[in-house]
Amino acid sequence: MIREHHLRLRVQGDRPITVSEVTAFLPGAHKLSPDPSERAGLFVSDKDGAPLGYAARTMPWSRDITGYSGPTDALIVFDNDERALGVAIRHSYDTPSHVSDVSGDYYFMERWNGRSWDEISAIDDLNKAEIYGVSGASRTSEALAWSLTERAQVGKTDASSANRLRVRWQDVALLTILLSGCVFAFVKNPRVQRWRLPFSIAVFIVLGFVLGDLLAQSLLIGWAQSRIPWQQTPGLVLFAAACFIVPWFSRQPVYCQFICPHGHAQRWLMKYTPVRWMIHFNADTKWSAKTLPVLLLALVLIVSFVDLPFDLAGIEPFDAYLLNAAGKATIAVAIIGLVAAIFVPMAYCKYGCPTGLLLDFLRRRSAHDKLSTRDAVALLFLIGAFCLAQFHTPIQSWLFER
Amino acid sequence: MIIRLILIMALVAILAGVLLPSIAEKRLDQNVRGTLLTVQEALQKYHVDEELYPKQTPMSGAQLIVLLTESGHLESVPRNPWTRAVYSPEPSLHDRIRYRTDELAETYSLEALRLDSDEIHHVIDSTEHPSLE
Repeated sequence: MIREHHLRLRVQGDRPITVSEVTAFLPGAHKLSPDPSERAGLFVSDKDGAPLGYAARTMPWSRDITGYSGPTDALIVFDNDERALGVAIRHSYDTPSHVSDVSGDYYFMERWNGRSWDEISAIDDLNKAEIYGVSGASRTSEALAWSLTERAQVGKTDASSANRLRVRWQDVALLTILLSGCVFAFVKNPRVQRWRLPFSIAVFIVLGFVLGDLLAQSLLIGWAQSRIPWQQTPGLVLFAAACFIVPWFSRQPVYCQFICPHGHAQRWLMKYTPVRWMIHFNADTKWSAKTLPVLLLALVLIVSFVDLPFDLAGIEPFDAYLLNAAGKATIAVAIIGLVAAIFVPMAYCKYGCPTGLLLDFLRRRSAHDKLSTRDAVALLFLIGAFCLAQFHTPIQSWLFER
Repeated sequence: MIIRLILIMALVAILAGVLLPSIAEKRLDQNVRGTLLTVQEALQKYHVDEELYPKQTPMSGAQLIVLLTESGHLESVPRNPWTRAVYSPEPSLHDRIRYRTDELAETYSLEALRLDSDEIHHVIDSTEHPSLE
């Protein structure tokens, strides 16, 4: 439902290249004329009709190349010798803070300058081509790079390099973390369990600070809106799928309890905080606090269907581990969650995490055949999503139009 | 029960408060886009009649709207998307639309700048080609 809805919004919001965008690279640009060849770009000419260069956008060819949570539309402009003059991000469905890191990284954005159309189309290994991902936004920058190579391959007959299955060390690392998490969840032998602390520390560092691939609403909604990038990031897709499927079958909270770095951080705080500091909620406060993740899931649904300019990475703390890519809201949520965990054990997991709630719902409801309040809430969400998709136009008019 | 209700209402209010700025941002975005499209339509009509675009360059949004209204190509004066007041000829800091044309007045660009900076928020120009999508 989310995918269909966003496909419709994307087609409505198509953004053809304008002369003004091209003048940033070719100041004398006056007219753009469509190239009838299979390259399907635009010839750029000056006011006397003399050719100045060539411009192309990566969309719609790159719509299946997802970075962290969505595809990116970029403009690439060439001079008359078919050498790239520059690349600009036009629009992106990826996480806004990552996109802003990429567009602000001049080293990455200028690595394309001077390369010819054929050189760009021939790239099949970014490192060999000396194009290195932007630290903290590596998936977004690499997706942009593959979008540009994919675009340059339009009109060529050989198979697209961007859509080939690509297994990188990050994918192997994620699957290793997942398998190790499963071992700790299912093998209760003390000789295995004594390695749990070193494993938690390793996961905290590798998954949190190096990979940054924590399960989050921004990731899941991004995939729901565009597509699941199993070719570009097979490890992350399998990792996410397993984190949902394993608790459903086994009722073991593998991700929340054994893998999530933010969970580990709170667990350590709980372990080393004096018991006298603990605050005990009464039943009313506990019940009300547990509705926060439900309300956050409702907010995710509203933002996604109403198509609001709201960065969902800001409602969860998970991007905060990518130190140079984290937004202020994400850092604030992370710090507040950790401070709260000093006084209320696992405060964020229990009373703030919408992704944890989703995983927990699958785990708890997997073996039940009677309807509960949780099922009623899930049904309400489904009805809400259906209504938001069906009545999108009147809702938009009511909220945004004059 | 009342305590639970109050706490949930407080949470809903906080989350609504978090969402309100993005609703306001999108509303402004739609209004700016709507105003630019209205002016663009009038510019196309002007071009059909006069065979060129208004020559005076650069022009503020208010100046262009007055010109197009007086020439009969803009039927109703649009509202300033930033103030929601009807455009008037007086210069205003809240008029963030800029019109530019080339020396032969054959092309134009209409830019809407952000209210707090000179960053371009939206741009429409006389590019003529069908959508490639």
